[in-house]
Amino acid sequence: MENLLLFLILFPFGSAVLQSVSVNNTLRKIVTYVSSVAIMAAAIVFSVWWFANGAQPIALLSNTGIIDKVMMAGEIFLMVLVTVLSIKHKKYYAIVLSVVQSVALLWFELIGEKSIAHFEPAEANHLYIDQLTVIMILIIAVVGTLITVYACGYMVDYHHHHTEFKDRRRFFFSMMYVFLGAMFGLVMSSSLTWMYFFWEITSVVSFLLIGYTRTDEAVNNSFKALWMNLLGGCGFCAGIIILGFNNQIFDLQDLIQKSVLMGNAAFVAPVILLAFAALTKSAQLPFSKWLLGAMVAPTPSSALLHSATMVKAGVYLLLRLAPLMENNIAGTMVALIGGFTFLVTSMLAITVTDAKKLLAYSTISNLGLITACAGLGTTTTVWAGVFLVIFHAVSKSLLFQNVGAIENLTGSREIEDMHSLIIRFPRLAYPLIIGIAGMFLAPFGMLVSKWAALRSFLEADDKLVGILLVLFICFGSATTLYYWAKWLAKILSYKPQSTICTNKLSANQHLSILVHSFMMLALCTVFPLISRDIILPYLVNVFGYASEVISENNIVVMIFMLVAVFVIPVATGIVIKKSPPHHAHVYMNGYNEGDDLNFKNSFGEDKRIYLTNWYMEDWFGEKKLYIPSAAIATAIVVICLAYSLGGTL
Amino acid sequence: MSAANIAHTACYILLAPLLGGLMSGMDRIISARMQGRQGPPLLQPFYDIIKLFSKETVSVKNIQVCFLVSKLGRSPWIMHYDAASCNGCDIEVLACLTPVYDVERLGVINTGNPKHADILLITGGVNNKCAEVVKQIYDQMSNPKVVVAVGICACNGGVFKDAYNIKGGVDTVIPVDVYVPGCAARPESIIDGVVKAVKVLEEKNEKRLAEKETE
Repeated sequence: MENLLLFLILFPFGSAVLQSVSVNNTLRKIVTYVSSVAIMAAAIVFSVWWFANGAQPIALLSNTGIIDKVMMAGEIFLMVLVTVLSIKHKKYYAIVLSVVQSVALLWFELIGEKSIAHFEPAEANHLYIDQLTVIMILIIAVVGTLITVYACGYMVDYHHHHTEFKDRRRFFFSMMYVFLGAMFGLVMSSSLTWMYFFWEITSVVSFLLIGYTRTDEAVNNSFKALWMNLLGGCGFCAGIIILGFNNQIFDLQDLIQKSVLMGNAAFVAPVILLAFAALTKSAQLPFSKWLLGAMVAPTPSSALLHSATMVKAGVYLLLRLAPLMENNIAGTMVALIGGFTFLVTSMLAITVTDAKKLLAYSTISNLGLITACAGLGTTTTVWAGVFLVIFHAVSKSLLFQNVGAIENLTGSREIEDMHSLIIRFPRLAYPLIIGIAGMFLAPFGMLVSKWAALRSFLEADDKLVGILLVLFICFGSATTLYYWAKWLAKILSYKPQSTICTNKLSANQHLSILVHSFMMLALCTVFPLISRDIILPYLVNVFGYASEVISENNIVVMIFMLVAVFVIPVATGIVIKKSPPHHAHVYMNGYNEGDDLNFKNSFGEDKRIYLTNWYMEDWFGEKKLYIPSAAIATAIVVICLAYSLGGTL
Repeated sequence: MSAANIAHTACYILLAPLLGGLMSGMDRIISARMQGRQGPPLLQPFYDIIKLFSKETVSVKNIQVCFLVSKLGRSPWIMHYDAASCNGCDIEVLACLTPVYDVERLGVINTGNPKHADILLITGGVNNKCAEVVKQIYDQMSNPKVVVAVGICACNGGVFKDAYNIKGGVDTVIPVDVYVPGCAARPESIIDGVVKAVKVLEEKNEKRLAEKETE
């Protein structure tokens, strides 16, 4: 069964090769469907087997001489690739970042390691599987591959609408599969150098995906993503080298176990560097711009990068590091940056009219919450963080796919153009509503995790940070509610004379969206089981103890609420059927001219109504808020880095 | 999940709305007392809910069906429309809401939406321009509904009766149930008119229910 894990890492790379030679759409579809089914089946079979066999952590691959060499070659290839592309587009700063870290790491692997006393190579296990890994594997396998299925239909429409872009679909699909493979590798690796290798692949591939259209804007944004992620990569690399030289640790699990035994104070400097890398990957302030810029890419890549994979790599690492960040400066930095990002980006999201950009902001904002949870590093916050990861992956992927489909069908992704979607396109509107509800409504998971996070922030040992985080989460949740409710209302609101949209949604897009919606609903009902059987055992493994975060009574209340969510509309429907309503015109400030759109006011003038959301550009505008908050976040990062590194170096 | 647990939760779910209603009623009383008014009864939110469920449904589109506004008489919600009034009667209608008269103690709310209202309170005579609007608002209200004409102009056109633009009283456009004379109508008489309207409203409701049964 362990071989399935290797299959999961290697197979996507194989499908990537197949994708790159799939010359037409039919072939591409076949390759995608077969690979998706294979990946999903492998992941599900493995997890079922693993849970059925007691769910004990597995450590794998202790002797990896040849693979290490292959990876080194891979690192050099990535470095050369970045260098060539940077020269081609005259962005030389990326070369510096890439070369510095690659050379440093190669030096460390080839020469540095040997000089470390007591180092016995090939002793550590390079792969490590526990509950968190399995959760990530399932997310990547199910959500990630469904996105590739969705992409089959989407990209046809995309190139149909955007004839100005060169059709590079073969490249696009093969990059998506490379990405999946790298993500599997990343979440399974325990060896830090392995993790770093996959980390770099995701950085470079995301750069390639963002630059897909090759317009100037896309190229600029892709380089923005590249340099920010490479900067994080430098931090990662520095963390690995410090850990190796100062603590003789080459392995993440080793690090976690030692910190549980010896206390985490000894590891602050490397941990803060690793956390820094994770912050760039998760697009926390001040590194948020790359994620916003990444919206120029076709929607499937946005969905892939910002729901199930790329950004989740950052928070995955942070959640892994959580025990190392409890009550120290690294944790304080991560928690503050996370909380602050949550607040600021959710305020920025209010002003956004472009649905995809709103999703980008909300992604950053939710990642901020997960980051803050990881930064506090207690069992409750990690519990909340893991749940946020799960729910966010599914609902955000669902939302991205929906917005992409709406854009292809109606030609616009402005929120203002999505009025009365419930009438015009019910097949997309219902999943969209489920996705939005999943992001902020009770009893869906995000809200539960937010509640758990709030509770544990109140109990934080560091009172100052605790209070700040409580303020961040209170105001951040308020603004979050505002921008989601605003969008939800736009979909549900009825604009007179809306007609059903006749454009057809391709079957594979619809399939993926439907499966996501059902997953979302299923997650809401089974989440107490996930908590009991997966997450609490994980916490016991890592921290040695865990307590039930949410009591059974609360869960029962939530089940009732979930039922009520379905019962009330159905009941309304039945009552209405019984006595058909009396139809009346919309009430306006004057004489309704009969079409519900125009009215005569008291001066006898003809007026047309137009209902619009309130975006509060003057208060929360990007121009006003972004630079000051990025400056504050930079200050926090610089001060914390200087403080902790100055102490140890 | 034990039986006690489930019972506990069920109690919670059943009692929470009750408690919420009582709190809302209390809140309304407290804010009324702070303004020097008597305020509505403690159970007012429940009266409102009961009314809501026994009224006819009005919708603008099937998909947006919502329950709207019986013991009806306990919760008469008013829509105030100024046709072609000199604003004298309008001031008096507003005076009814002040601490001296405090119609809220009868459960009255002055709503801005005809779909929520039970009683249409019209001041001033009807002219050619607003006649259609009056008809529309009347049509937009859900059954059962009552119309109260406030002031002599609303009753029969008053001093403007012979003006070229005035059609006459409200009853030239829609059926009126209660006439409140006066120039301007005194708040006492307006309240009296509302109380009469409530009786008419209940009669209409019984009639409507009886009709439904015979169907």
